[in-house]
Amino acid sequence: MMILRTLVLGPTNGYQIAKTIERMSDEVLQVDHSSLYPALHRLEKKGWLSSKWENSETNRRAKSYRLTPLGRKQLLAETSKWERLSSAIARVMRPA
Amino acid sequence: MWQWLKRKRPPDGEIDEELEYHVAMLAAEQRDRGDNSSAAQDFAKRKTGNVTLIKESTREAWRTPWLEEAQRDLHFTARMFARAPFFYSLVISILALGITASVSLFSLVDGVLLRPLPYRDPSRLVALTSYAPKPPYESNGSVSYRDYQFISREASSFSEIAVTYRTGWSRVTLLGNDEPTQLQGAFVSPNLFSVFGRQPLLGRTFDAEENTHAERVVVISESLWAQRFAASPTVIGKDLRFSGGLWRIIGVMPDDFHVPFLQTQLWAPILSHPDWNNHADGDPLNESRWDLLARLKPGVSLARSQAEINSIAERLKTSSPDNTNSLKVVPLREHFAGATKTPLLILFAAVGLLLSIACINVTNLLLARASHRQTELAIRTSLGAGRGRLLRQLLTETLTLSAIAAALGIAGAVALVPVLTHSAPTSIPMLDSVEVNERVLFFAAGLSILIGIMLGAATAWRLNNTSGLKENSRTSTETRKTVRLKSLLVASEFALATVLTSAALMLIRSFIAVLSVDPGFPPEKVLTLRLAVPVETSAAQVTQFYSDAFARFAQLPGVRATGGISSLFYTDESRVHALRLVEGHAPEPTAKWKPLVWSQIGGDYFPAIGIPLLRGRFFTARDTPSSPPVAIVNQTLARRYWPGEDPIGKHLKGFDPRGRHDDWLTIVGVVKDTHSGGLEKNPFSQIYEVQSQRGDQLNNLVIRTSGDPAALASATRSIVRKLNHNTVIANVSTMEQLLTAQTAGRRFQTWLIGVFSTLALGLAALGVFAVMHYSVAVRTNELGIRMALGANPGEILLLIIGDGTQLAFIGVLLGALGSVWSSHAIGSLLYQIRPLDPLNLVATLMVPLLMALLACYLPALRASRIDPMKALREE
Repeated sequence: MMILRTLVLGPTNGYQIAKTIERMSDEVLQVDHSSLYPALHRLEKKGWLSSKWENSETNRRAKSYRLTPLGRKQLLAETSKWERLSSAIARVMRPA
Repeated sequence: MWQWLKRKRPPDGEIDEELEYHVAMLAAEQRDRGDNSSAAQDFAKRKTGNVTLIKESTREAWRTPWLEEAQRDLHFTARMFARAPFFYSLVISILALGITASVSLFSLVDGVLLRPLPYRDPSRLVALTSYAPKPPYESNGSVSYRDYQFISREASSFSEIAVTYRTGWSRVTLLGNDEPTQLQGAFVSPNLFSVFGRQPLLGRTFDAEENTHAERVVVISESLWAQRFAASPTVIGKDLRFSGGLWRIIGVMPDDFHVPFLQTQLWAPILSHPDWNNHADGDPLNESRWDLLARLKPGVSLARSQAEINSIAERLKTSSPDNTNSLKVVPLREHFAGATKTPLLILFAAVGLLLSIACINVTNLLLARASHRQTELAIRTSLGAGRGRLLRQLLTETLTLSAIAAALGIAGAVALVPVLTHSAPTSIPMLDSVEVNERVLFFAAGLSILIGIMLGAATAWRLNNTSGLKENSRTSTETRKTVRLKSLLVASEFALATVLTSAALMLIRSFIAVLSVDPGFPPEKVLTLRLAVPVETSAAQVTQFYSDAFARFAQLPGVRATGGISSLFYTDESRVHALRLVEGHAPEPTAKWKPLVWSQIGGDYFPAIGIPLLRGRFFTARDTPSSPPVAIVNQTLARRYWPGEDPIGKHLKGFDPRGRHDDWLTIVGVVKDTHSGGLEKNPFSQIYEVQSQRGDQLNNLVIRTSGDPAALASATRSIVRKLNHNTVIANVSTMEQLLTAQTAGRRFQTWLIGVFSTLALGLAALGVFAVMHYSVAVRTNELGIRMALGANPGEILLLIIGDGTQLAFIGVLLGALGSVWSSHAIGSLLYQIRPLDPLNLVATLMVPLLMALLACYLPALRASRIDPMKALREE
């Protein structure tokens, strides 16, 4: 889900995704690099991502991922599910 | 689906490159923080982790899980087969046996009954046949030419009606450089080819104009073209000599054009038939010698065309009171398959029973195996395999089993089908087109999937009753449940096997009854020749030819008597007749008419074939065309007209006048009855005339010898050839061969059903053996206790045998009920045995029970030898 979220900002490559997640979570979440690529490929297979080889800013060929309409829909569904769940947890953990 | 296909797995190189980029970027980042190049590289690698593993699991992401699982299941299945090779090869061979039998029989049914006929829109093709709804039942299925003209004028249900000269009149003798041969010609209307929607391979077919002018043009078959003309394209325009004339070849039809007769070799315009203008042999316009084949108009149903034909038949009856026949519209397939349909379907049903027994047997074996695997399955469940996952694995196993069995079964069928078609009676039409084709393969594939799923479901049912992982899952209640299911299966095996056995026994007894029929003469040491003297030979010449032939035959070594008869057997005779005039009798009412045949004989026919004279005398050389006409009758005819009287010297008149002034025939002798209608029919009235007074051909010559009759075959052939080289010799065979040929169909059916029922009984016995074997293994403990408490081995033996036969007994009883029903289904194939024959019923019960007893004996013996101490200690 987090991968999908980072791609809302626009298409980018695996390295950037890892960086973005780390940055967005204020370095709390360290991305396990060994599971990033299998996850990306799984998402691509499901059709939520599409990929393209592009030249990156350092002028090397890098595979950049882009959110597909299907992935966008999925992100929306997951986000709302997540929000319901997290607010429920929040209510339990901090009873008013 | 399209998207799924589009999302193709990236090549491995891309994943490598992608990761390299990642590592490079990390390293670059680290370098920016100030590390030196190699330290940065190390850091990046550390941070990324095990690159090989990542690559591996990334690739993993692209694999299809079910395919993977299926691969694993298959692998597992293979391992399992390897662990119990004997068990699984037994299972596979039982299934393969059942599938071989079913697939072979299906090829027969497919070739004869199902294969689409090679004509345009074959379901619209019909035959119009006449039948006699009341005595004298005199109909050969054909109509007169006048009726044809009337029908084709009046009927609106058919787009076209083709007319053909009926079989007997269409046989022609082909003359030329080769030995003369008799073959099946067809004199047909020009529209026959268009009705069936077929084109010639070469040349053209004849048109209406050529028919009207009775032009002698002919279309020949592909096989005749190959035989006589080496398939040369220059055949068009050549001449073919037959029926006293020359016919110009204008076309070649492909070999699968089996119209109007199965073995048609040439087609000529109907009006070119030599009999068309030959009114001496009856008026073709008024004689029933025309067969009608038609195409239904689009949208017209069979029922509607039949209704129209009924009203036309009524109008025909009012216009000619002599004609009392009705007309029937018959689908072409039925018209051709005719009498073979019922026996074939019965055989197919029998093979279905056999296959069911094989499947039940295999289910039983797999269940026994499953109880061994119970623990394994329980472990897999507790390790997280879901019900669906286990079911899928079981299905993979059973489908693999059935697929291997089907492959073997198809191979078996490929080997068996030629044997079947070879031993099948030639009366089955389209036998040459029986083959293992794509429809048969489709059938086998469907069968194997069905069997696989059924077996999987059965083992899964067993799985459903498996409760978790107990320390010893062989609790007694569960075992009892399994035993009950297996007992049920064994009982049903016996029920099915009993139905088959009962049918087989009845057919075998019928066959024995037919074989033991006394034909009315001793058939041993008799040679017969079927031949035809050219039609243009005069009556006097024909008579001379026979007396010369008889004289020469008599000089051959070992020949004791020779003679000839117009027709040896009348196996197709279904008509009933009465004599026109019988001295001292009123004409018989139609309702009392019975079959009656006339034969002409020559030489010493009766001594040659061995029919004894009962009263009076045989014909002699003094019975000549100028002496008063005489006749010899058989017992049945004598009893029919002169019961209790001496028929010698009595007078009668047949259908056609004899002598110069429609003279009376005087009966000079009475001979013993023979089964001239075929072994399975009761003897019917027969009148013999002497050939010299009638002038007809004697198509069958009979030679009685003192040695092996077959040894004289070539000598007799060359004598006939020398006397008249244009004589066609259609067949030379011994009398015993002729009689055997009459029973070929019955032999085939009996043989097949016999084999099926033997296999069925064997499988059922194997089933009861397996169950008892298993039950003894499970009950070792109990049996040990029994023995420890004083039961002696004999009692144990009886106990186990009793248990086993009890199962069989229930099945056999059910089967006996089923066989009451099935015996009516095969009623039409029985001879001199009633469906509910008591002896048969007893045998039907006893044979399977004996098999069961035998099958139980081994496990029972093992049970009685259990050492109680050992059995109890094992627990």
